Amino acid sequence: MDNGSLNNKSTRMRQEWDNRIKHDYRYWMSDGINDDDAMFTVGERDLSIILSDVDLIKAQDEIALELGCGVGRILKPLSRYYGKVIGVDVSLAALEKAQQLLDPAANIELFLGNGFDLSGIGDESVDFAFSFASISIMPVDAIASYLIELARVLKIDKILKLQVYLGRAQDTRAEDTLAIRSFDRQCFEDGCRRAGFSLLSCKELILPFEISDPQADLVAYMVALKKESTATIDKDELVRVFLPQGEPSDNQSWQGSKTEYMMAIACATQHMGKGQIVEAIKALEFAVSSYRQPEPEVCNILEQLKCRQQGGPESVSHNRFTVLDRFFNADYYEKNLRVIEEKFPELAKTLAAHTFSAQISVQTGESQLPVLVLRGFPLDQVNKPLASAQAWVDRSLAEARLGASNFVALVGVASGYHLNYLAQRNVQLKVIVEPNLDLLHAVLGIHDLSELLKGVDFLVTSSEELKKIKQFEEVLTQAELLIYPQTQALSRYFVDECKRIFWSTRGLKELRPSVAVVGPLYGGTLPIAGYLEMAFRQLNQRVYGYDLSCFMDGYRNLGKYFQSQKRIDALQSQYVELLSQMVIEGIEEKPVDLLVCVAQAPLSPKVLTKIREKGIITVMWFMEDCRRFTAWQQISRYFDYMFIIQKEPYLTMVESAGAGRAIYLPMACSPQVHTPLELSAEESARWGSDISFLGAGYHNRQQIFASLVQRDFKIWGTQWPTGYPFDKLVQEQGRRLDPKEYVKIFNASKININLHSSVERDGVEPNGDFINPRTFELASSGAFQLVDNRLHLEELFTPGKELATFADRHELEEKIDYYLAHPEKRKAMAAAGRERALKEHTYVQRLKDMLGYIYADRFAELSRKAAEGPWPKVLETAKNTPELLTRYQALYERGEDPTLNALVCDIQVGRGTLTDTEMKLLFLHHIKKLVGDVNDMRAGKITG
Amino acid sequence: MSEEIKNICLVAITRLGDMLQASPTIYALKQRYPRAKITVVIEKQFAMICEGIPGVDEVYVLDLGMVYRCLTRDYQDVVEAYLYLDQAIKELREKHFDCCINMSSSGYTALLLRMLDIKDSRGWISDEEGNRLISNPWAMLFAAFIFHANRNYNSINIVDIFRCSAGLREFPRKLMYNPKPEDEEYAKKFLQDNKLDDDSPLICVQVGASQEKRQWAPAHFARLTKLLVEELGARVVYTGSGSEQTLIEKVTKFYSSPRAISAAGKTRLGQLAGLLKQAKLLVTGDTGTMHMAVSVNTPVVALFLASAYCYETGPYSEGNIILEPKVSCYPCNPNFSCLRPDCHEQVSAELVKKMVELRLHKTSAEMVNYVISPSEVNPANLAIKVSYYDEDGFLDFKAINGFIVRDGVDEKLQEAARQTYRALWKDEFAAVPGAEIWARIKEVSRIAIPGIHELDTLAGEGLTLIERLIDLIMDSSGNPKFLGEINAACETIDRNIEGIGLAHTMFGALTRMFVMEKQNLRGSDALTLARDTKNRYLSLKRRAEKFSRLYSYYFSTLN
Repeated sequence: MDNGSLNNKSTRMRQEWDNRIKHDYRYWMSDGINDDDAMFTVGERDLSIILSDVDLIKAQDEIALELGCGVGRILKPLSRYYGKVIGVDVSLAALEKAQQLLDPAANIELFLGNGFDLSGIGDESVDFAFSFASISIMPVDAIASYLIELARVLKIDKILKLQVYLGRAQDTRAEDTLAIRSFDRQCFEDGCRRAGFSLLSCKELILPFEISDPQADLVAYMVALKKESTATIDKDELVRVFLPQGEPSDNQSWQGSKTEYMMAIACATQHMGKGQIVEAIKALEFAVSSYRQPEPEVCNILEQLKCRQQGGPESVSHNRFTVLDRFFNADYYEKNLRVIEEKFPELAKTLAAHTFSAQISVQTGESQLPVLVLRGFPLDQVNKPLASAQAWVDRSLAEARLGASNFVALVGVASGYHLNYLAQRNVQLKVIVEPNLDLLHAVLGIHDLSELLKGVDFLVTSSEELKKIKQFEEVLTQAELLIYPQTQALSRYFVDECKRIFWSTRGLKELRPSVAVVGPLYGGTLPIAGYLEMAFRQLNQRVYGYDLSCFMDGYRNLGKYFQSQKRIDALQSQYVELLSQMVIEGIEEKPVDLLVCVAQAPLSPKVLTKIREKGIITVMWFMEDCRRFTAWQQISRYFDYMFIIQKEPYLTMVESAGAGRAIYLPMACSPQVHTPLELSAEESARWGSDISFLGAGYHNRQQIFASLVQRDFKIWGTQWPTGYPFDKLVQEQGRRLDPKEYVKIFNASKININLHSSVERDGVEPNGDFINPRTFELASSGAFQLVDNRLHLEELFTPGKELATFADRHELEEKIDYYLAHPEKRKAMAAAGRERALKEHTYVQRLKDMLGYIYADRFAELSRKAAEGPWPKVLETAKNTPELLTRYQALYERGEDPTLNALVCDIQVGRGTLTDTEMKLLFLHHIKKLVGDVNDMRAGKITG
Repeated sequence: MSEEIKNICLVAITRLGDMLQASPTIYALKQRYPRAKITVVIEKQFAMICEGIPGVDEVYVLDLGMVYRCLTRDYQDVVEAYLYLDQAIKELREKHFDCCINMSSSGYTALLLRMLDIKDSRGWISDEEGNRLISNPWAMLFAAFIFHANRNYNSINIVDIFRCSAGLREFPRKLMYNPKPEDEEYAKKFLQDNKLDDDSPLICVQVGASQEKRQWAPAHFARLTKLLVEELGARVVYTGSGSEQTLIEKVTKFYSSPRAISAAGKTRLGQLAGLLKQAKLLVTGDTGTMHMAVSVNTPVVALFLASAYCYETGPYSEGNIILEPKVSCYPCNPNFSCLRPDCHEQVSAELVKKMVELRLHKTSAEMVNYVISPSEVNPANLAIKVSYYDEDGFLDFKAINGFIVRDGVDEKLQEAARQTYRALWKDEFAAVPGAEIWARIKEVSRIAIPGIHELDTLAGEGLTLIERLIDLIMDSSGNPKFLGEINAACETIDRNIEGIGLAHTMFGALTRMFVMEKQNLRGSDALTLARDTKNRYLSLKRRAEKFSRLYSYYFSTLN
């Protein structure tokens, strides 16, 4: 094949893509999405998959390249990480659109590609390259020539990531610019090697919707390649390596892409579902024009639609069940609905009010049973849906750990075949979760589920309802969670949320892992380690707190006798090593399952590695601004879980720095400490003022607070300047306060200003994301606060209802005046803020979430550990001594170890008659102590 | 104890020596209640001892070693220990004891008695809330003297305390252990096999002791053996358990002779008794072997080192010689180990050999009246004491090489105080001595004793207060506020009384008794409690008065 034929193909590629972009760029770029923001959000998600395990530490000085960038949905988020990003696409229309959508000032360069090479991009000039949902649909010779080109432009040792399909080589035509190309895995790997790459990894790609089609042997992969050299092979030879028989060409007989045609029809169906006739017509016209042999029905529908648009008779049904047509059984539906109306009236109303999209269609196979298809993906096996659903149920139940109650919680109704079979298998289906109302509706019309629904206690269809988990905690702790695989693939995030809630509930009930909480030597997060310990106790977990703050004086004094910072650093690092060693000795003596570190806990990499080698799950709650404090870059790799208080891009960055998982977990409050106080007149005078601020004297705070000098304003905290006006404002010589004093200030002040610190900006940081602990502490204390606008604030509190916000100095002063004049508003807002904080933002809540994530991943591992631990045997041995058993159970509930000491601690001598069991335990306690003492004496140990 | 008693339980869990020291009590109980069955509850390790103690009908063995091992493993093994205990309690309860005497002072035996739920329980017991109580004045006395500072003033042997606790007047003045004939045969054969079956005096030597600090150094023992073998021509047999063999090997490293052999680990308890019975004498520390020797009528020369104190646990028979070092820390606290036991150096092998020689040539009766001149054995270094029974049948020790003034303390004054307490407690709790001594005392003029006046005054103040309290309780219209005030005032007085015992150690036992008796008051009726409290102040006042008179008397007899 010469470049002439490539040129032909590239012309076709450009034309066809230009057409698609002009038709509906969002649809063709990002299936099913119809606004730009959503498109970029999906781009962000895809980028996080692309960048997982990519080292981003130096990205700011590097150049990244995307082949097939389209309108730039991935380029936009990518530009935040890399110094420069290059987007290459064959479609001029796409690049023109990209120019409109992307910030012209951004570090993004767009290249119009020719469909086969990367001319204009220098040799070994790129640090990272990828192609996502692009190279996989190119003609095979374009794929080959681009791969050779990518090997040319990438620097040695740098990474190329490709989203491709591997499995059975598909029967495609060289003319098709949209059909998925799939290669035999061995051939593909050989080709990559010959092109100059080594294979780093090849992971199956899982997206929230079905991307692979295992039945067709079409499985999506994310492949990571490392450039070793330039290609040692030419394009044609490479094509033969990929596809030994080559990709056939239809030449003149080419009818157009069937894939494109089908997708255009699906697009039309979506629009019809929403009643968007104009758009539907446009899509059908696109379908009919691009394919030479459109089906007559499609042409008919197009005609009808056009008629209707011109005011003709209505001939297209809007019945929401159109798609189900002959399979929809109105009797079943009514029967099912009656049960739902009775048991779940709210849901019945929601179903009635729901607008149905046309995302669902029906397919039938050999069995003629209807299989629901969501966004093009069948939810059950098309040929034998019943048998395969039953096989799934059998398999799942065989693996399930069903309790005595036989309760099951099911996520995903799919086409519904597994539902009735579950009932037949004598399990009690107590909870059904289905995030898609359309699906639920359809299933209610296909199956008679009325008997089954009568036994169901909870039918949940949204994350909001999912959050009301408390109501069905009792059921969940007894139930086994089954997740229908298709639902898992289609609604990954929702299913993750289900898993987290389920496992956290069940885990908290069933598991009692022992936890070590290690706090920092000093700093603002110090009290938080204590709050966490307290919260773990409230959750009845076994917790051992390592409060290292008492070693701070020693740490500070290491440099007492000399000046050299080098020496001080060296000694301090040895000191930290010693403290680390102390923690590991503690763990040796009191083994734990989980190590939870609070930011800046002084544990050395060596010790963290040792701890992990013991099979302990390591967790860090990094409560710092990842942008400012970059310690996470060094420590992430030592933690199985890094919880951070910011979202993207940091989650991806922290994971790429080596953390097992990075998860967003905002700060919180500890209601035992942060609580409304009754203050005496004296206390109110000392701690109170119209306006107060508590915190360190960061630049932006100094800048904004100086203007409040005329007011009754008190500043508390350290690191403030000494001169005017701060000499007037700063209280008690700017000393360090303790958390109990904080709460007095919160309670005594009419307005508590809460301004997040910034070292670079004046006043309010415009794009500040995370929320500081103060926000939660103030709310929990029932104090009124005026807090600066933050990106994450609205999802945690409702501004204007639970707290007041300001965007700049002007608004701050305006609101100060307003709220000083409206004490009742302050009071109401503070009360609402407290209610929200207590309900959603306590450390107990956070730990539930934290443990939920961990349990969802590690339930089996932890429960195996628990089974190996002492508890099962103890409870078994004690089963015939009821009082002793009860006492052990109390210890278990409190998360303690089953030791004699713990049992004896519950006995109070001299406070009422002791039971027989208590006497016996005291007897044993005496024996242990006395014989132990005698042995010590004999061994020459000094005893008292 | 009532005549109806049919079934007696003795809890003697702690140690071998303790059981031997309880043997006169057991024997006397059996004599007193011939139809009663006596069951001894004992630790497995020491159960064997019961075989030779006359009067024991049944032995109930508790395997506390196993329990302890379970407890150290913790977790489900605690349940194992619990179930074992549960079963034991059940079995013991089924024996339906009428009476139980606790010979131990430990917390767990007190709880055990409580769990057995026997109406007539004596010694250390526990109330239903788990507080440890002492049900008997003698046991309380023992507790008062356990208080370390008071030890110097105690002179009532544990054997007498045991039998007085059981309320026995008639009792054998010796420890009771009967080795079986085959045990004695074994001992003879042992000597024969080791070619030590000649007529020369057989002397047993017990090298080991319960604590290292109470163990005389191997080099000293070696030197002693050499003297015994070579100068006295004696046969020497080292006794002890198998674990003590290493220690004996240390001795034989310094000196070995075919005339000095080890029987350590080669004798069961009965055989040890058989061997001791063959011996003319035992040289020992304060050990179980010592008690075993006196129970088979073999005299002992005993080195009471470190924390060992002869007035508490000395050999219970007449004419035994005790060597007691005089260093300022003697007797030391048994709960601490010692890195430099100076007291060991006060005793020389030569002196011990001399005492052995002396004892071999004298009868018990002759020993009691023997005197060693201070020039022969300097009382500044060592006290030589000899055991004897006083006119009331209580064991006592007298120093036969004289008293000195040591570290500013006149030993005579201390001895006078010791005698005073002895007479005082006998008078208070056993109604001995008789009228005779009081008649003698009348003739002696009182001497001034620092602190006694304050004690008397405080007791008087307490008495006044408590009488006012009783009035208030009886007067229902009284202001309850005053009750609290009086209680608070009483507390202050009690603290001051305790303070006097600490400042004037001579009164330590007196005030400690007072405190303990008050702590042991039980009941919820305010008036009864107040009346009992009043009795405590009365007792203190009375005892202080008696102390003053007795002390003046003994002081005069010693001068």
